[in-house]
Amino acid sequence: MRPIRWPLVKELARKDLEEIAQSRQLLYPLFVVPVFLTGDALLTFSLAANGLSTNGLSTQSAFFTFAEFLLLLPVILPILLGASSVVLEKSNRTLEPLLSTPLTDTELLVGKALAPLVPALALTGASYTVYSLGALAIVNSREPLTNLPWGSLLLAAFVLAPLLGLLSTFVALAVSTKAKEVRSAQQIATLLILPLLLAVIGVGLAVGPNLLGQLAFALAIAAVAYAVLQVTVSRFHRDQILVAGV
Amino acid sequence: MEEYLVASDLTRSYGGPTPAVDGLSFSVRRGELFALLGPNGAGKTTTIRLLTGLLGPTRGTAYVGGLDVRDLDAGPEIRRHIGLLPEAAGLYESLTVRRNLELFGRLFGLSGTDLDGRVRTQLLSLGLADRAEQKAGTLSKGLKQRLAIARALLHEPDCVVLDEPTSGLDPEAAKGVRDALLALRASGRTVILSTHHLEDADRLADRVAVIRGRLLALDTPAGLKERLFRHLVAIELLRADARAEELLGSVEGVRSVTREGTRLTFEVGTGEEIVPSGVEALVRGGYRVRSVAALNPTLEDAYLRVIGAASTPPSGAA
Repeated sequence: MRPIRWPLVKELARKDLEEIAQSRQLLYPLFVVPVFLTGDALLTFSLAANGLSTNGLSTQSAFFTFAEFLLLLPVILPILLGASSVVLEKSNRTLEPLLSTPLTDTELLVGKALAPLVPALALTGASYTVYSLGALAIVNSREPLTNLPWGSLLLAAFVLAPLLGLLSTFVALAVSTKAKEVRSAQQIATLLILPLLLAVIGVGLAVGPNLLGQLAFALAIAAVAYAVLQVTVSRFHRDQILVAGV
Repeated sequence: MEEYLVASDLTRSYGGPTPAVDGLSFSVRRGELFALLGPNGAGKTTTIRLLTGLLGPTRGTAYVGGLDVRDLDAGPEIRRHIGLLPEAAGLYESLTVRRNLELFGRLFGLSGTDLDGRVRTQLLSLGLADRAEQKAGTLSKGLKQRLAIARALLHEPDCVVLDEPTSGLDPEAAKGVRDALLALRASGRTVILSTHHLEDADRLADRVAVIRGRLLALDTPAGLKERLFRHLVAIELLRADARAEELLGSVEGVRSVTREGTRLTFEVGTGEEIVPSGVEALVRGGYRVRSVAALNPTLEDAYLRVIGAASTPPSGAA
């Protein structure tokens, strides 16, 4: 297999990011969703830590539960950005010139995947940082910080979030290559990702701050991501992309 | 002259009962300006996509500079040698004119001062220098087309492929594109042009191929006209009717007589006596001749005849 030429991949991803940066339609939700979710997680954690939680969550459980809550970000954000990635090139008729460059199919796929994945993971990381600092400030005066399940938080931020981000990106791209228009691509991708969203919430609640349980969940996500990657790769040939949706 | 591009039994089907392109075989010489002609849906765009390696053939193949378009590993190399101007300019409208060129330059492996120099050269040669920092979406259609041409030429390809480059342009912008095409041919590049504008093809092309799914005709514009019409003559009478048409048609060497008002148009084969004999037959029949003129058929006449012949069902067909 021909080695990936990273300068070309980076240029493609950079172009996509520049387009995202100039699109209010994409930019607003990209920042609003993380701010809303992080703010909500911190507020609810603060209530629980102050004994105001209606469902009687302990501080530890609340800390973990709302850390898991932030895993929705690497699922939602790549769909928001990635589902329009290829179909927008088709509807703007920029796809043909792009496909006529020496980029290989693999380089196209990687470049197209990086553009939604990088901002999604960067914003997820920022959200986890804000959440951790906020949680520290909330519990600082009440109990030892070591009581909080930091291992679970780190696993969520550094293992689960990238895996979920990859999975979500591959789903978005697979849909985008076959879709006829942006709106339908986003709707179909959202529909496909819905079970994943439910799984994230469900497993988070069921497993709790249990490292082994979380690792098992991470392995399951990795397996699904690999399967979806195979499907995406099999569909990501310039011939099929050009003809699909015509 | 060396053959740069060879199509051999090139066929592409999209799953329907009839292939979009069926068994095309032709070659394009290095430095030649080759025009693909055909009605809408004739398979011109599919042919271009097959020749540039964007689509894979269902059967047959094409060679570009000796590289087989079926060879996936050769794809990037084939595309590096080709500059494509698709039917729609396909610019990134939220990016500036300069950024559009820089992006494609980098995707073609250019960088640093080489890229800067080439971008500057293209901006100057296509009259876009003062628009370099303007967003592509704010350009007029003619300027967008020029930017798309600049993009196709940036990496200095051996072969430039243009799909309907003057489509939808006003006469001034279309002339700008034609001038760019002439400059390309003068620079020794191989140019493949798909167009509906038969005047453009007649004026610019070294050879034309008429396709309608299949290859219907392939020749120089002059050769095609000569082959299809030989010599076309018009006789203007004071009064013309079906009998005059019959009389003229009965003269040996006269073919395909048509009547339009008081004018009889016909083709003549070889032989100096055919036209005088035709005139004599009409005069003897009591018709008064106002004028006799040799007509120069246009490429459009030839094209319509080729397409018309392809549309006519074979005798005995239902």
